[in-house]
Amino acid sequence: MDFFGQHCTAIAAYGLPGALLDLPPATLDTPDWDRLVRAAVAHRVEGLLAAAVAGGALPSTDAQRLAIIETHAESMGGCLMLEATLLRLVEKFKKAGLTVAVLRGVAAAHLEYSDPAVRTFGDIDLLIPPGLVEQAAPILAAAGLVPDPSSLAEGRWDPPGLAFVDDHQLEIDLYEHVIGGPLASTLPATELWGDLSTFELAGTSVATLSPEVRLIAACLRASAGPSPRLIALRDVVELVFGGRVDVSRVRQLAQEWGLRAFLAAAIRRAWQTFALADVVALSNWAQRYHPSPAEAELLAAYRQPPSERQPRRRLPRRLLHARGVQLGNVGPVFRPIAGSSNGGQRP
Amino acid sequence: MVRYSRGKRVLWRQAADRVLLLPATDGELVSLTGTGVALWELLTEPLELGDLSAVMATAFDVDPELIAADLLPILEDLTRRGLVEAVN
Repeated sequence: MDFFGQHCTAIAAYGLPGALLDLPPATLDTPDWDRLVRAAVAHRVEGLLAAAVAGGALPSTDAQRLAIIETHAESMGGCLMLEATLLRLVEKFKKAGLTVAVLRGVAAAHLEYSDPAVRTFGDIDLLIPPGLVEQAAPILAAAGLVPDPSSLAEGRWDPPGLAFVDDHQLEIDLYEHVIGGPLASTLPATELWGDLSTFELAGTSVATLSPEVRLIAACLRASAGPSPRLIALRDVVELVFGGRVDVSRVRQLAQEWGLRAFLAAAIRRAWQTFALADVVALSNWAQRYHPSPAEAELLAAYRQPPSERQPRRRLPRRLLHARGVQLGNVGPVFRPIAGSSNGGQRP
Repeated sequence: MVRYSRGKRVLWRQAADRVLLLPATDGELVSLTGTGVALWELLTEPLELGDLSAVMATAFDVDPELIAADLLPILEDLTRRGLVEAVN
């Protein structure tokens, strides 16, 4: 792993109990610092970088500290705007009698992390019941979102999905499953809806998957490709350490769905990547798990590099209305703050 | 007497030196800095202006009346924006 990879990984592990990775012991010069920040943003760990700086664990100059505060604030502004869009959609879906479950970043921020500010995200991922895309799409259209006709090619095992964007290029992705490819046949999408959890967001109850299914889904993401985003691995660790996951239940589900190798591999990968010394029941089980030859083959296929990825299967074409949507960076968008209350100038 | 508390329909995040607020319904993103961060932390429970001023005056070693004169327009502004609730 290169210099920046090592430091970025240490940042991604910041605050984890038993993490043995060292942060840089001295301030970095400006070009190295800027490169580190870019790497952190790419891995979605800029919140952890900001926390490490604020906590005094990562030496920085005043200029660097102010810069990461601004970078993190920009990311958080984008997260708040995405959440506002999510709440509007949840209300519309509710009126239409359609249950949706929020996946990944938003759910992780509010359920797996003690401080949601640490977990940034760049879009909203919604799971809808199988076969109900045609009901869901008009609801997003009524909310001012338009389909993105050029869905990015994802990994071959990613679930088919449909992306929508709004006027601010905030992206909402609809999925019917959490996994694509042959694994989808071992895990019927209907099984995901058996035991939903909820969390409160600005007074609104938002549905998401159960902790056990969230862990399995996180492990699928963390198993994908040769180099998953560091935040995907961090999510796995937060779920394992978090105390919400029923260990027996998650192992039972993984066995029923033929995903034990993926559960074990992702946990092992996270523990190795972050050099975690602490052992818990699941990490101990993961370390001891030996995949069968068939499981090992599937894991290897799942880790194929992007050059061998195939375009993901799209949802029904008639739902894609090519309106010449301008594709661009659909990362976090920070609308300039129009109002600011300083709270007074007095000390 | 009016008591102020955080709006129930507010999305927010706290960073190192600021709190970002956004009404969940519709509105603008607002940043609270400086003593505004302390104010937001106090507003987890409904408090009257006098109580808010007393706590902040102690924390920042400032005359409570001066703090109150600063806080009132800010609280009114945040209430207008839907970020703070004011109840009698």
